[in-house]
Amino acid sequence: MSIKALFKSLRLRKFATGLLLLQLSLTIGLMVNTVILTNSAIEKLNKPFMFDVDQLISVSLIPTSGAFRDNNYARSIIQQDIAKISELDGVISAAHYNQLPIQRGGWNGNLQAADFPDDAVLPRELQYVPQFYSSKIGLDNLGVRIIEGRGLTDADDITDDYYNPDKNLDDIEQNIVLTESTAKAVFPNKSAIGELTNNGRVVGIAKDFVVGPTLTGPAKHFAFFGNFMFARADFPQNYLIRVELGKIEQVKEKLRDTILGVQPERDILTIRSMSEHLETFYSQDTGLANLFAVLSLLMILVTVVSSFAHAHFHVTQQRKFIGIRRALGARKKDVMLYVFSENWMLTLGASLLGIATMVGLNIALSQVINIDKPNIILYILAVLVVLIAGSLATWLPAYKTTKIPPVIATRTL
Amino acid sequence: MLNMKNISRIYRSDTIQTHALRDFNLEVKEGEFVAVTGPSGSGKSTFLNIAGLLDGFDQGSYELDGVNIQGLNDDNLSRLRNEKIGFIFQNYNLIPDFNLFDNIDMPLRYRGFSAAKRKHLINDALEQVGLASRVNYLPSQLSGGQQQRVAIARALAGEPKILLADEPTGNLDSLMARQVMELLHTLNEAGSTIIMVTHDPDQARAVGRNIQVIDGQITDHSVYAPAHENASIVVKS
Amino acid sequence: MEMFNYYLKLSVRNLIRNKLFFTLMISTLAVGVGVFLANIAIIKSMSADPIPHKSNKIFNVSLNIWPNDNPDAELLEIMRYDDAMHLLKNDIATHTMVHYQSQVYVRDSESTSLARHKAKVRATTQGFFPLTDAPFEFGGSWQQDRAKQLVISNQLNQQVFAGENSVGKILEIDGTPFEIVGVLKPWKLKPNFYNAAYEQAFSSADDIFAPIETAMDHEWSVDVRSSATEHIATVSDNRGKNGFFIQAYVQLDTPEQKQEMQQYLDNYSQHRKEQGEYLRANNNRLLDVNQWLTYQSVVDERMLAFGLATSLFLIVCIFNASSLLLARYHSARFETGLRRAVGARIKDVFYQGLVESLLVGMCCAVFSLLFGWLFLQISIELFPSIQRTSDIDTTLILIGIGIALVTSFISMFYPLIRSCKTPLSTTLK
Repeated sequence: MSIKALFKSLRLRKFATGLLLLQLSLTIGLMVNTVILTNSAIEKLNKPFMFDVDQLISVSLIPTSGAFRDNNYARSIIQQDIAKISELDGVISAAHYNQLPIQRGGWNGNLQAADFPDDAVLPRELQYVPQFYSSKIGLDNLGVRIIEGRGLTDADDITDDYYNPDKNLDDIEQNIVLTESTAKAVFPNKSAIGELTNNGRVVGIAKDFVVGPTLTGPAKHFAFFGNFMFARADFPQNYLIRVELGKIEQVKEKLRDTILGVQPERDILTIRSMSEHLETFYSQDTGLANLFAVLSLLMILVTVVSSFAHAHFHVTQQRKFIGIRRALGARKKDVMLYVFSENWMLTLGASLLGIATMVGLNIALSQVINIDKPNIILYILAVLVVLIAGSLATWLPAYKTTKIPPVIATRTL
Repeated sequence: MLNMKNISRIYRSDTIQTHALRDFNLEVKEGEFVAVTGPSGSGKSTFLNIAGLLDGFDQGSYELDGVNIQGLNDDNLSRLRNEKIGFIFQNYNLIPDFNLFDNIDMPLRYRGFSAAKRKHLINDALEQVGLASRVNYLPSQLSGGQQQRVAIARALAGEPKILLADEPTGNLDSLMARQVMELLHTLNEAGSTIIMVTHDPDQARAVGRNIQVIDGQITDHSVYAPAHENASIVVKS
Repeated sequence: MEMFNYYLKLSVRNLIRNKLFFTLMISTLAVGVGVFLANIAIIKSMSADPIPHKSNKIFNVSLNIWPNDNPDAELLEIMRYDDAMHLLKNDIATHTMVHYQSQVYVRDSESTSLARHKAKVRATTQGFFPLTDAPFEFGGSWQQDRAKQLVISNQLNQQVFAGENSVGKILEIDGTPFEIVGVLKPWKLKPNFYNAAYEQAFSSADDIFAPIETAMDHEWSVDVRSSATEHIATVSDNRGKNGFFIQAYVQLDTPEQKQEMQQYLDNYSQHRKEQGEYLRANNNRLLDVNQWLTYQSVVDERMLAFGLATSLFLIVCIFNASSLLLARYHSARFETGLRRAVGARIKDVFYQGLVESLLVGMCCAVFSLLFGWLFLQISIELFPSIQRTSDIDTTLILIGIGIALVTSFISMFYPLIRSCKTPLSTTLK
């Protein structure tokens, strides 16, 4: 069997061959870009967050009754909630937070040294530093260590002062803990310990963890922690519960009843493990990757259909010639090879074109979304998938050729 | 009825050009039965294709039933084919999953006849070929000879001016061939003009007029024998 | 018509005769169209004009003002209470409304049950109703700025009062009674232009419309973005302070009105600057509804990316169908040749092909709608946030049928031309 003859036979069907080539190459292009999207979605989820994702449950709830307008009442309920939750079997610790790490929006503000000159420009990433207010165990509870200075203590709690109408807020100087990257950014040339910021005095530095994963560079670790219970009737309250490994589900089940047992007039918005929280955060990315994956699957299906049809019609058309080949001594496997090699040649051609569609689609997609560049391994994988799918689909028509009797050569059609 | 003057047809490929017909002249009168013979590749089929308006020509003039073919567009050619010509092929060319009625109905559809008229014509045509009782049969349920008779009925149904037959008995055994030839003769006697390409000298000899095509030209207008007497011998033996 | 019926009969026969072939062809085409359709279903409502009869007359107001000298030159969509009050004083616009979003828990004060319903609040001004053309079922707007009165949505009325005329009834919120003065008909803007900022364009519809002063007096929290340059203790504390949380819209029916409004805003910025505030690089901005939605990138880029991929997929499916058809017409050469020989014109052959592609297109349309629906369900399963934006309506179904017919015609076109052009004399013996 000669390649030349194959070429000729393909050239005779320029249009059909051209369509199939384009189709296969688009499939390769789409598959590669799908895998890129899927990979980066998975990567984002599997990146180390540098706090104990596996041991945390988050609860978000909001009061439904006017009773919580009384701040003292609201605070006492939160304290009772935390106490009850902490007693649950499997719970290591629990704390209230004004916001959670890894969320959209949130409570952010500028953070600068107290002596930062008025006319200097604060870098943009320091204008929106997440401000965390929790109890003294806020960082411990997340599994984040203090690496310099000290953690927050009961003495650092400003809640009573804050809600005391006789106190002037400007007189309250709170103590705060910065993450390592934050400290370096705000006080680039010295230790931050003991320094004063516009948000209080730095008493400790915590190890970096991921706060805002959509940010790039050190900014994704920016945050400071204060010891304060933010209790307003009209804002959702967050609890983070740290549990023993493997006890997530067991504790989750009991949380709703435990909390509503303390005071029923609350709407519990969500109870979810930190990993569920992350999945929700990334659901748009994984969702898109999933859609692309379904589309790729469909494309492979269409490839199978068209490879099958192409080979099928080819064989039907060439019945007589195949018969002649058989009459002239071609073995069954020779004719099968003949049909297969046509498919393989098409795949080869499509894989060359596929480089262009892959890069082209990648560029087109990068105009609207963030997408990594294609790489050679993914490309080869995609070509292999198309090759295997095409070959499988060609098998049936190829097998049928072996049933063509050599005697057909002597008959007129 | 049919008048070809100096018809030339040249097939060109990249390297060679073949004169399929060269200065071909032929006149066929109404009611004639003409047999065309000649070796393979002599141009018989080209002649028949041009006569049947299936193929064009490069030079010369062709008049069919008073209409000059030169310069007619596809619409007009199709109309002429439909109204004036009936084809009979060696392979019958019946559509396998159409029953006899639908097969014969096909050319009539393009004529725009009403359903009642079509039905009438189809039954008449089938009557003529002796298959009226099998109107709902599929071609595959008939013998080869019967299939060819259906094809003849299809050619006849539109009441054409001329029947063109290309080796009509080529695929039939001798008995069936004889029946088909008998039918053609009957039709000719009833007034149909017929041009038939054939390999069989006996068949040729049995019809009114013989022409032989060699190398794209008519070389011989010989008439083998008085047509009708011989024909009756061929048909009856 | 008779020929049409004849061709239809022939096409049906063809379809039945070549079952495998047409099943493959129609199903791949239908999958392609279906996927594309599902994508359109999502993008269509994202890019829709929510208030077509006056979208070019309603403008978002973004003010050029900031208390600090800030290098961030982008205008904020939100403004201070004082800015909003100044804007409301204008007599230029046909209607002016300002609003912020909140959330409360309500119960029917006469109900014996203590259960409360979560309700999304639009704290706004009377101008809201004529500006948005919100349709009333019962009652109307409140008349006083500090009235303890509410307008509620049809949905909330269904939930709390089982859909009855609840005008005059009392809702209790945080222990305070509020009188219902109006109930809306079912009403949902998609996308919601007045709440398009901060990715809210497809969030759930508002349940309660309340006077903004009343909402602030009762300390109803600011649910979407609020930003402050000084300490603000409570919602009502925003009055006279630098807390940014209110969005504003005006209806300007003529270009003159728009020009005057621009002047009015510019004068205000200038006045504020003279009081020691700072201007930003951009001027006061008036964007009409569609400009505003574009500016807010209401159409999800991910869906555009997916749209790109589904279009490619559709093309692939058309290619596939086309090459299948080419093979099919090739094998039908004999019949075509025969028809031509017995007198069919090229036109007739083409017309027959057209009827066949119409039939294929109709089959394809049915399956496309089916696949489209299926794929939309899968999409929602895989990508839940789509649910809020995707809509199946008559237009979409018509679009689907249209696309199916067009694609089947496109796939048929080249093969049909080829089959019409086959020289007659070569096919028959």
